[in-house]
Amino acid sequence: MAVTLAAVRFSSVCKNLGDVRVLDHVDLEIPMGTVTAILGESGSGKSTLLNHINGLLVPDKGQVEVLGSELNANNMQAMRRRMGYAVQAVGLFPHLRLYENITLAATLFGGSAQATRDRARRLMGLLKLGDELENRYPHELSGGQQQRAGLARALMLQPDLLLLDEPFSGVDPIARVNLHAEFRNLLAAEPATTILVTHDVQEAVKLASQFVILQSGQVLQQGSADSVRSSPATEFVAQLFQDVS
Amino acid sequence: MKKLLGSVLACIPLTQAVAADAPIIIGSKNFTESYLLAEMMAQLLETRGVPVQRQFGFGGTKVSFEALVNGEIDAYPEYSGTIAQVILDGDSDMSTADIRAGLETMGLEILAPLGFNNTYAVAVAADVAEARQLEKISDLSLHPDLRGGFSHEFRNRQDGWPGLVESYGLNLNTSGIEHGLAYQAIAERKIDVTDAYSTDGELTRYNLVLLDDNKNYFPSYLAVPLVRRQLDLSAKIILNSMAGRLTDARMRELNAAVVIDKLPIAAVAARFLQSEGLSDKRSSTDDGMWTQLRRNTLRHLQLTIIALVMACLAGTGLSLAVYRSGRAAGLVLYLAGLIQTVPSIALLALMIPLLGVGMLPAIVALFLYSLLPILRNAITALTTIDPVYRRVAEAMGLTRRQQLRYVLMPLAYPHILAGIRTAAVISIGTATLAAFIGAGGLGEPIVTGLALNNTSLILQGAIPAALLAVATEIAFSGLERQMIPRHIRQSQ
Repeated sequence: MAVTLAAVRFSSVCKNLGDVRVLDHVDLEIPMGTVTAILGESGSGKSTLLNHINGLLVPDKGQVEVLGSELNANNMQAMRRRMGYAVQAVGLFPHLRLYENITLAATLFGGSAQATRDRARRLMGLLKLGDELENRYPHELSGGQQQRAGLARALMLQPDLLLLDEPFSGVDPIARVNLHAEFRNLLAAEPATTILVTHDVQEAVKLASQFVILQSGQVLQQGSADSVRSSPATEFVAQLFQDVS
Repeated sequence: MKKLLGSVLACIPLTQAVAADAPIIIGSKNFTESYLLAEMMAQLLETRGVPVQRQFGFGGTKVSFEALVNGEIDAYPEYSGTIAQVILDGDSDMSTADIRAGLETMGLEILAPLGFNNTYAVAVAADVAEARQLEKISDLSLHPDLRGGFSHEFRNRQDGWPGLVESYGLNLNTSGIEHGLAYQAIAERKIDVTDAYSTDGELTRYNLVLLDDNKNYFPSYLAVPLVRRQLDLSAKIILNSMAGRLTDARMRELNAAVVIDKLPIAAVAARFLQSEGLSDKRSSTDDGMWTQLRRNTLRHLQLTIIALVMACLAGTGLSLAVYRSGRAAGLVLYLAGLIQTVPSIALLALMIPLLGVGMLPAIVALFLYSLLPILRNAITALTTIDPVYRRVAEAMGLTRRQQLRYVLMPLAYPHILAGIRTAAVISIGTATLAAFIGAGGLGEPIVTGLALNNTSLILQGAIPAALLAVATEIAFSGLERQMIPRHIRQSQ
């Protein structure tokens, strides 16, 4: 039987934050080369799960394996440099200009100036960030431009794994539709295994081929879009996809 | 860090090395007579070709005595009764032999008395004294209708009024009055008799006479040069040439020349030495105002800048070490806050037993004072940065050092700089108090001016100190404009 390499594997992972059990014996396997949506209501443990992948959180129990290795103090920084990370709040550094924000990591990790420049220009082009924006500070950009800049920063180091925590939630619905389209084009041009945390089922269906559905820190179901929709594991999963076209 | 502090400290002339050609350092306390006597001692040595350095205006007996014992000064004028009571912890009527013996164990000695006795005295208006034929304190017992107005301290001290009544059998009606108001009250005939110091220059202004202490009730406060035993013998001999030359009346006149006629101390001292044939110079080679101003300002800057640089290094270093742990940060802030609650003059005084007097304790006190604003701002800045920046920087794979250098510190700079700015302005103000422990700076003319009731001297320190504080404010806001993008400044 052919063994496909998992991008991320969770084995019986438990995590408490304070007295609350946020992840409860999570077993999970996310295949390489897919776009996987992690779906669930607020407080279901989606972001906590994502933050275990890049080591911002460590499990109380169980194991997390990323790109074939378990994260530890020795490989943490190297592993993180193989993962792009974009969040709803964007978190562009306010003291740096747009170009500096996108290229900070590349500059610090020793990329050549020319290569860095070419890569940044390419990403800015793909994300429709015009050259005239390069020298603007984050507060001088629109919400949509900030989200695009956040994505460009996450993709700058050509990551093997792209972690997105509700990156499209902060923008208005019209801008969001455009962003979805651009994001699909972007992934076509810059393929990366992507894990997208979202509470928006429409968005998940539009962008992802695989789903993980979480409720109260437990995985209810995991599988391809078709399998989850055609045979939902629980009533909750069925309801979740009820109104999706 | 240690090495750096060491080399910074090594650059400061904290104490004068005892070398053959090192100047003799003359100190004084911060009141008119002490300044005058010290200036006379200094000029006398200078006229004989001995190099002298003046370190005037120490805030009290303990401070000047510590300075002498630690070798930060070589000599200063003191009073026998004070030496007996304050320094040797004995009775004020201790014999000269006992005083000498007591001082010898401390490596100190007194030279020959200068002649006058600045002790408590009983004063009455000259015309009242004449009308009632009052010459001696005992004469007061014949005039129970006279009204006594005495300072509160004098009324309550056992060696003040109570003892005087007992010793002379007096029977006056007395009331308490602030010493500073008593002479005026006599001039306005509200009281007739008051306590005084026998060489007080104000006695001349108000035309008061002192009644003779014919029962030798008051202890002796003979003025003497108090010196280190190891002071050069020839210097001791030169200083001894002043022995017995100052009567109570003469000292009163000289004090009056400074306090009432507002003559410069150096000029009054020079005139005295010249009239005694101890010097042929008409006036001393006193530094001009601008030279003094320059010297004081430079010293002031030296004190504050060294303290501030040390506080910046220690404050930001400590903040970086503790900001991740809420408990450690809380403890550090609590301790720094505790230091801040100690009044600055008390903090300076606390330094004396630990570090003596002069620049070092002043710098340490200013350093401790500057710590809190720097620590508080730096820790607050580092702990209140939006956690999303922290999370993104960490998730990018930046090392802890890179996170600090490229993300956290730039975001914290405005706050940290504001803390340093506060610390700098506080330091410039507090450094004026450093003159009380002989550290010099712009506090020196202020302290002297306060002691001599000389407003122009006070302003010579106060105005430049205020200008320095304002200039510091302006310089820091310029620096902030240079270093920090506008939108970051405005979001603070």
